Amino acid sequence: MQTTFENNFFDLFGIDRSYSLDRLLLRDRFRELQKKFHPDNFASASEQERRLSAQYAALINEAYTTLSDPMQRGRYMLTLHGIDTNEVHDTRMDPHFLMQQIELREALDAARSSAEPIDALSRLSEKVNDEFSKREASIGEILDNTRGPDSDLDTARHLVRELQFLIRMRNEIEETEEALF
Amino acid sequence: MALLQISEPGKSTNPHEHRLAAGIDLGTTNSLIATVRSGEAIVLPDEQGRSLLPSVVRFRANGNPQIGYPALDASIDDPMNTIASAKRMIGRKTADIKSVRDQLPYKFDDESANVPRIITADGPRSAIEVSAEILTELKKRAETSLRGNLGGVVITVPAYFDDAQRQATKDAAKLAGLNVMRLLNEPTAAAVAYGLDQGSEGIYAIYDLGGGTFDVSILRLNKGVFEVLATAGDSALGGDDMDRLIAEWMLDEIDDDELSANSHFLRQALAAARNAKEELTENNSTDVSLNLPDGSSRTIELDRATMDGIIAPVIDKTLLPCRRTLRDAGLDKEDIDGIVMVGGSTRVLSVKDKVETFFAKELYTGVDPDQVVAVGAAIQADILIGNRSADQMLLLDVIPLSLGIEIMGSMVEKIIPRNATIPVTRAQEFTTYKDGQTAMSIHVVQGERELVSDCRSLARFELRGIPPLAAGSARIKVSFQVDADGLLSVTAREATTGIETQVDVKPSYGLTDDEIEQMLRDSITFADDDIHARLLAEQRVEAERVILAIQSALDADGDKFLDDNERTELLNGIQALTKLIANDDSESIKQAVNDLNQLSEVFASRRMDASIRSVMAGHNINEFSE
Repeated sequence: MQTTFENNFFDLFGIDRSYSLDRLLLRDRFRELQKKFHPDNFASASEQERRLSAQYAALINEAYTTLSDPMQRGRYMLTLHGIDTNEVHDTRMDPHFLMQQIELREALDAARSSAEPIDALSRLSEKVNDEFSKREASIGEILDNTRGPDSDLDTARHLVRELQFLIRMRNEIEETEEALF
Repeated sequence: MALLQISEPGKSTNPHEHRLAAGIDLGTTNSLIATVRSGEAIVLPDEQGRSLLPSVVRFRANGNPQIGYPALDASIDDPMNTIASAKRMIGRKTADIKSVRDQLPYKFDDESANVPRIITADGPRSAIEVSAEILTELKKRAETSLRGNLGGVVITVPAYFDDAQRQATKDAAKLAGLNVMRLLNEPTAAAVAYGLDQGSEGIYAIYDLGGGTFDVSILRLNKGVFEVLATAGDSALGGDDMDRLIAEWMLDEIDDDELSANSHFLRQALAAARNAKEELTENNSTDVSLNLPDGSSRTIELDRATMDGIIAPVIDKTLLPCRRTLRDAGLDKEDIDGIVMVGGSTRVLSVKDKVETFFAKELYTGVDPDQVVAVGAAIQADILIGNRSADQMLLLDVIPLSLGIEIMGSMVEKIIPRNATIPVTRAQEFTTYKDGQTAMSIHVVQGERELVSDCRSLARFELRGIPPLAAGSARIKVSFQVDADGLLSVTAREATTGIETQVDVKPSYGLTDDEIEQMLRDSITFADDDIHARLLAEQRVEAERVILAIQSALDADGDKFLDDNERTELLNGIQALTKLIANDDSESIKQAVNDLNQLSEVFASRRMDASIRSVMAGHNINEFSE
């Protein structure tokens, strides 16, 4: 029954299958669905209906979380193309990207011990966000505009993995910031 | 016992009948109960017109505990038997509450590792039992004032409460004989009370500093949807800590080493500290009088600036969670439209000052900070019991702490991240490492740290009945479900054979079902009440509820989703259960309720399926018309 929707979160929300989706429409649809299926609506329903509503509500939450997040959305859309970004055996990374990661890490260490750590950290954070947005845009171009050769999807797969690295970097910057207070 | 009114099968009971429901704020210092009457949420006062019930219970040798004000009055003279701030101990192991224990005058029963018990004149008592006494008192208050039995309640808990603390709160409600429809997070309850009142839209931070707990939640409010974006807090931080710091300052001022070992004097100093703190929300300075053990008395002057200095560490400690929620919500301070101040401790002026400075935003303090949580809970209770349409409001809450499992090297693998919207389900596959292995153990922990020892151990799940296969070829899919109360459950299935594995839960904390049952039997509260009569009454209510639910679903669209045979089968099931209700056998009613639930499974899934399809069809129509 619900496997129908597990296979396509876009259908669940009734939105087009696109990477550059309308975030506000997605949010509206999410609320509309939860207003109908959240367990609060079934507090005095039969046990079976309560159980089903919890399952549906969990699925709707998972679908929403997946589609709202640029990295997870990319990863999910690639799985719809039959590509799993979580495969551990493939750990190749673009050498330029790896170089840049090392530089960012060094910059984080430098920021920690700099005279104006807050300023240094916010400059670093801007740079990371910038790199993030660039990749988001490229992923969108590939996933939305081309039904092209597999090499393009492979590029998208690499970009999604790079987003994962950038998210980790972003978290570390934020944790460093937090530790300053 | 009053006879239950059962309608004739096929005719639904009046769906508009008003059922009694209440919201309960089970606080560290004070507890309240509220209900919605004629569309308005009101806090129910006691016979003397007091809305607060001090969360204090005094156990006496005669077995008749004092609850609330009488217990509070006795707390200085009988500190060992008078238990306050039980909420700080609920769902905690003896070792966890060590820091709290050192500040408390009680004697603990060290034998019981899972649930610490305090030795009282009426035997050892756990925080769960203390909370059950408070809940029982509130239930009595509501049922007297509303002249009827409560059909269901919503009980609030700190958003930062972990699974063990939530479960323990639910256990306390069970002991008190309450039907808990939902555990609601306190900041979310406060947002409901504010949001519905004022029709607010936007992003709000709820800063909730109570007697012993601190929460901060960030919510987006839009057209009746309360979406929690992130929450953080400290479930052992509050006004109590301010009182303790002020009391310590007083002891320093008096400068008598023997006083700090005198539990009677400590209670007095804490009470005086609390009074002084309250005085200083109005005045710039106050005189504190203390009676010394030698019969003399001592007066100390405390001014506001001095107090602000003393309690500053407590307030500063709340700002770190504030920063973390902003970060987790992906927001800056500028994105917040306003701050709602909740909890008695937000009356302290320097709390308001520091929070206002931190967020640089307007503070909302309009609704009584002591009552706002109970009022919000009452509104949700009214919806859940079916007195008003759920369409008007939707609460989307989150899990406050990540859930994970222990992996090699005593490390934690996160399964569900903190701030995930609940209900949430995550599945993880495991495999066997020995040929023919038929069981495995999964250790579930909660917390953010990487090492198992730094997280809170929730439970060990034993999976049994795994088909004996070669090592590494069994695929056991374990699903972790967190329900809308924030409570975890686990199911497991072997993926290649589809064999359901049995899950045995060994909670690291709290009580087992058997222990709860035993406590129910032993409970003073129900001594004059036959346990069988109570179980029977509970089963009858449940049976009635199930019949009503299935009957109204049948009335609504039984024709649409069921053929004649299926319909008849369900109606027969209802009839069979209806007959059993008249009998006195709670076990057979229970069995028939289970049977009827099973019988309705197909019907329920067809209805839900159709419902989701109709929503999706609605989307397509919208898209054409847009």
